[in-house]
Amino acid sequence: MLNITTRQELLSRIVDTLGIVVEDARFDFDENGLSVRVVDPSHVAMVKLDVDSAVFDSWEVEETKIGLELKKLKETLGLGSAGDLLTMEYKPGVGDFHMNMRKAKRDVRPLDSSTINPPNLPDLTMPCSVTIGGAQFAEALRAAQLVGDLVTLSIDQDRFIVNVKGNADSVTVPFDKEELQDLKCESPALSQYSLTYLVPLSKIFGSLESVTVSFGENFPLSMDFEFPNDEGTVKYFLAPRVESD
Amino acid sequence: MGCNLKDLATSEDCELSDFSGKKVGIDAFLTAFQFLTTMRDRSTNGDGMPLRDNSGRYVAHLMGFLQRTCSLLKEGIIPVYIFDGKPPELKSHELEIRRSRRMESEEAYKHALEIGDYKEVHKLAARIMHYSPEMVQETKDMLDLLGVPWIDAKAEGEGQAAVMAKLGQLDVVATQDWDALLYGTPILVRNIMSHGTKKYGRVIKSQKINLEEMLANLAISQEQLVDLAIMIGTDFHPGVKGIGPKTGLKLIREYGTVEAVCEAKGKELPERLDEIREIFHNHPANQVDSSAIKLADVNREGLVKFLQEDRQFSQRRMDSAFADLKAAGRLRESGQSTLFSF
Repeated sequence: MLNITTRQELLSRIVDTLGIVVEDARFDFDENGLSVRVVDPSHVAMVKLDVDSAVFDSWEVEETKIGLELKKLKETLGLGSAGDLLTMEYKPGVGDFHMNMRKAKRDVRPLDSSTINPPNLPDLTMPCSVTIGGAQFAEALRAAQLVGDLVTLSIDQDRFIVNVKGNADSVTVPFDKEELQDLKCESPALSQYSLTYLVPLSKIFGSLESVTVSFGENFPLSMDFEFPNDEGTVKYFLAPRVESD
Repeated sequence: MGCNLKDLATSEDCELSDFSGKKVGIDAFLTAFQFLTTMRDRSTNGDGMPLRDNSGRYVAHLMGFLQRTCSLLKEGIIPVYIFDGKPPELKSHELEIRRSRRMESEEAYKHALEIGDYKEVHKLAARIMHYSPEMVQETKDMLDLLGVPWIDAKAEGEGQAAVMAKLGQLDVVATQDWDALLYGTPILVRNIMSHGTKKYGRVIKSQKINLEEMLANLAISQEQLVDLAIMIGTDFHPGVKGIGPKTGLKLIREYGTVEAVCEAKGKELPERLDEIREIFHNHPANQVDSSAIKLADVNREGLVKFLQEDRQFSQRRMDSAFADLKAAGRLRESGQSTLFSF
């Protein structure tokens, strides 16, 4: 059984975050909150998202797993705007997933949740990390996108650098340690990532006070951040473009 | 081979892709026997034995493990092969029976070969296959070159795997041996590579069995499942005469334990009952460092030397393996890697 009321902007943020990686997701609800883990079909990007039940306007939940198409959630959320309330109801095994947004009642057939397997998180020890303002990092990625599709992140004990080299052009956005909220670096590292995955995510973290970016030499990147007002925790993983030995 | 729980288990069909990103414990010995009994010289006058290289060394096991491992890696799965250790002393009677059957088959095989009855030769060859210590070592060497983890069990492979799964070191255990459930593996996968493939006219699909759900459906406890299996018959005891899965289930639900069933029905209590139970409930297992259960870099040059130069694997076979490894992001070439390659 599930009966939840949420503000439109909270669920929108959840759906937008997951939508960067997948089209369908399994939502795991229990009395403590919502938890979702998704990986894209190429296994390049992964999101783990946790939202505490307390941040919803109402929460009556017995442990339930529901597979849903994100497009349908987004469409329904699009019928309202920030501040509107959306209610969701579902009885496992009985039938449709019901959503009410303003005057509209939408019934959605859930996907077979047993066929959607949340991935295990990769077991990685990140050798370097920076904590940076969301807007600062988003701006650096936007600048990088002017020149190419692949961004190189590099780090040493003193600096974190965002760099893109195109055929003729290049963009470099350096951040000295003093400009960052935190910088940890075991040994200097450089790794390259696809902007196709990073730039859409910057729309989610671009307004946040801080985001922690961790990576290593030719190593996956992880980003950790919280939704505004601590309304949800996001862990994002991205596999690197690897240079040949 | 273990206790047949087929009639008691509730299973659901599954796909290989369901296990992407998961650590899948694989019973190496049973897997090896599949390869040795299928990849054989079945030409008209062939001796029915596993495929060999130019020097007469068996290579069927390596061909099988290479192809299987690359397919699993391509799917983003982390295979963890578990090799049998020393069998429990209680299994010696069962092993003696198997040895004796094998010797009979070996005699019959020699005879069939002498008289040139190749149909019989091919049939009997499957019964005398031996996964020798040399072949085991070769398999481990190849897995090292592939960067794939393997573990030596203290006793039974499926028992070690189940203990590791209970500790959360493995996500699922893939074996044909139902005993894995008796050892307490939370999730058992059978026929992991089958996707509607036909075998002897039957369609085989891979199946997932969730132990907790199975026990709930049977309305018995794990202890009672083990007692039920002991009554049906295991590798450690032939079982209680006249009791099969259905009768056994009814009786264990009614009376609760093997002792109570035997007393109520006037049956002889299996010998060394507590020792058998102990093997299932607390199977001897080697302690494994969780951090060691992960993929390492592929040694491409090493594989070419080991398989192609030393054992004449065909270019086509090698290309196919490297294509899978590349798709899995296991070969560090320029390009997009995957999260499961680290």
